[in-house]
Amino acid sequence: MTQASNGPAVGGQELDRLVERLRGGRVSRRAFIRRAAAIGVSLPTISSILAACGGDDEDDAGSAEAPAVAGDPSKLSPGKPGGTLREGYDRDFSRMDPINTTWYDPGFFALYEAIITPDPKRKFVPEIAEKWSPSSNGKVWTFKIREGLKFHSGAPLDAQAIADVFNEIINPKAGSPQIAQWAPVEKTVAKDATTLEVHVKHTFANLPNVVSTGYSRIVNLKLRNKLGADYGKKEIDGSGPFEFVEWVPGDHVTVKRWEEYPGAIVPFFVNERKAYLDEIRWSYVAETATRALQLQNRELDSLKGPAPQDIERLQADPELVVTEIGEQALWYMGLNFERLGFGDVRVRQAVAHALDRQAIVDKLVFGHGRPAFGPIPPASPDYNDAVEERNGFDLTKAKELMRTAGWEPGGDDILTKDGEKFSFQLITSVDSFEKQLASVVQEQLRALGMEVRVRNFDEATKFEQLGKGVDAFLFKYSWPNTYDVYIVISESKAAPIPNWQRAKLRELDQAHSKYQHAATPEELNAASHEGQLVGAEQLPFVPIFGPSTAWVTQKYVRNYLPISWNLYPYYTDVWMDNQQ
Amino acid sequence: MAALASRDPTCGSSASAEQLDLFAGGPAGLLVVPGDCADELMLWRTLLERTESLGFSGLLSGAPGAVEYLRSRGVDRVCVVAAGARAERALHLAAEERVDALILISPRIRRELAANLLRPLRVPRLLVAGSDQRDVDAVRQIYAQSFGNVALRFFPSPAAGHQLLNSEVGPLVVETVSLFAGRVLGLRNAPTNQHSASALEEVM
Repeated sequence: MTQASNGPAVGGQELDRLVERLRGGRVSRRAFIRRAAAIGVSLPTISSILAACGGDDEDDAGSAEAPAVAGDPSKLSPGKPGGTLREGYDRDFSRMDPINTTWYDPGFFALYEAIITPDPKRKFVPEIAEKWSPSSNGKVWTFKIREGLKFHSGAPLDAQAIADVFNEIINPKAGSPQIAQWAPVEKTVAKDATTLEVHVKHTFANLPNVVSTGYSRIVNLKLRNKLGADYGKKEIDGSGPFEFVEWVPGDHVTVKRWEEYPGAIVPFFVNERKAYLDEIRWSYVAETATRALQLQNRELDSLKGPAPQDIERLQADPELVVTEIGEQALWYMGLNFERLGFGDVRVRQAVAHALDRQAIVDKLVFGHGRPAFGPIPPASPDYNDAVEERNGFDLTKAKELMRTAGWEPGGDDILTKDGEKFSFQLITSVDSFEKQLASVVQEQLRALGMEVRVRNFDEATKFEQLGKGVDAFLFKYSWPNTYDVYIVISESKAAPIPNWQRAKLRELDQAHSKYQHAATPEELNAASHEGQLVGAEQLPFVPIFGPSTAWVTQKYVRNYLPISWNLYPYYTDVWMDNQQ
Repeated sequence: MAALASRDPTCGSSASAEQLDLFAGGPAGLLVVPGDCADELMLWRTLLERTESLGFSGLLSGAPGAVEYLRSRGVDRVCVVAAGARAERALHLAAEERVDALILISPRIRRELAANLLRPLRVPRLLVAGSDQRDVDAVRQIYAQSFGNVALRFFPSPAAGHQLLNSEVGPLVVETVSLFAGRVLGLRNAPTNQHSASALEEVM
């Protein structure tokens, strides 16, 4: 009997226990064979023990073999097919066109697939592509595409179909909001039906992140171009496990199971075949107070985004299961570098030190979030916690920074410099949470001696105002790989849109460039950590907090487990245990 | 072999701290850090038998070297699982040895240790609790001090610690543990990020 070096003693004791359990019928003969072999028991010994213990259950068919992957993932939760999942959703739906959207709704993960996808460790695994690799000089990434795939319409989903999508994203005329992340990509070429080459201008270790987001899901471009603005409203053609049925703006989206789905090769999916659910109907529940009630009245089977103040009540409901994850998202405050004193880093640092983030998280989201001190949220797997040495709540330090920047309290306690008062407008949307956040920020900055005038606009007007230039604004970004969006909203060349604060920081641009030129995952991680520290110091924007997102399901909703990067569950695995 | 953590005073009969169970599956495995109650060990064995049928290896041990032992048995992806006060031991293992994921069921971690143990961790973590307010608060406290990918799941049951596995929501807890482990460790062996030129030659 062997024993692992420095390992726990197992050996004979383990075998004795195993034999005892075999005799007691608490372990099958097949499991006995596997476990005995795993602890180093020889095959003749295993056979003699089995013979001595008697029994001839069908489990031990065959001879004792070395342990292998003998499991069956479908045993995890053998789903019952059928039923319509009624899911409440906390925001209105947008046109489901991956190439031209700034937000992906849950339908993206039911209707479309990406060529690769991140697992919970952010390791990339196959989805449409079976394998991939960069060339030795890092300039060409080759993806091997699954054979015989098609879109819901029956159109072929081959390397050419994918190349068409990727080339459309980098076409400036197409207006894809993703174009900045794709900047290092030169072109995509289909060498043959199953071989896709993505050519990059320089080493670009971040490519797997870029091609795996909800925004890079593969759409039938021919149909999309034919339908123009109607694509994503009346018809959708993807390759996911569900087909589009209808979208009623402001109300709901419905999809149904695609009966010809060839099955998934994603190694962490439970279900390798077509989806269990007949249909999914996502309903937009605008009123926050109504969301929890609809769930508790059993009008919904699942819900994303209950009001934070309702979560505790939902946890106490004997029929509900609550899941919460840190969102890959950040609430931040943009300060226009060209207005007032915001171009002075001491002023931005003073604002950062004047915000009591923990109080904001506690009061406004009832603890369902975490204070953020750097440019990406604590929920990010790349988070560099060294940023927490900066920007902590310290009103005395904030006041001192303003004094050194030349701002002194005036007669009304408002800071003044050269006869100018530190008074500015803070732009928010009409969203009730954003208004509350603005109100707290206003109060906290008043303690520093800044006069903040809050103005609320509808979403479209807010964006219009941001483009024209405002003093300051509140914004929430949400993106699967947060460093990518950090670049988009803070690099100099992204001013004035979407670098609405017009930040121009050479040191930060250099850090971002390093990230975008990284040749290996290790270099990428190191560049991310460096860029976070520069951001926490230089403050292209002032971080406030990283929110959490909650999903609540009835107990009968099974295999429902969202992953932070995707924001939604994998609907192909979900089934309902209330079906006949 | 080092003794396991101190005995749970709420435990009925005590099992030997020397007991170990190995569940032989594939190259992904769960390492359960048990308490020393016989009934708790039985619950964990049931869980590991379930995950074994899915293809996961498993080991019931909180001893130093347990992760390495699993690896010596061909397990290259390890998820550590513990309940109640054993969460501290599991955190030590996760911090000191290279593991891929961590699942803590109604964990109890001494406040003075929490920050140091939680701060360096970046592997995916699942924190599970019932509806008991102390457990809910404990899980939220851990979450507040954690970074990276952390999921919380709350079940409607007053049961705490390993007893959650034995409660009316036990099957759902087992399903969640299995599903999370499957998501993190992979339910099948599939080719993944081939980040080298030589790998490309194999592909093509």
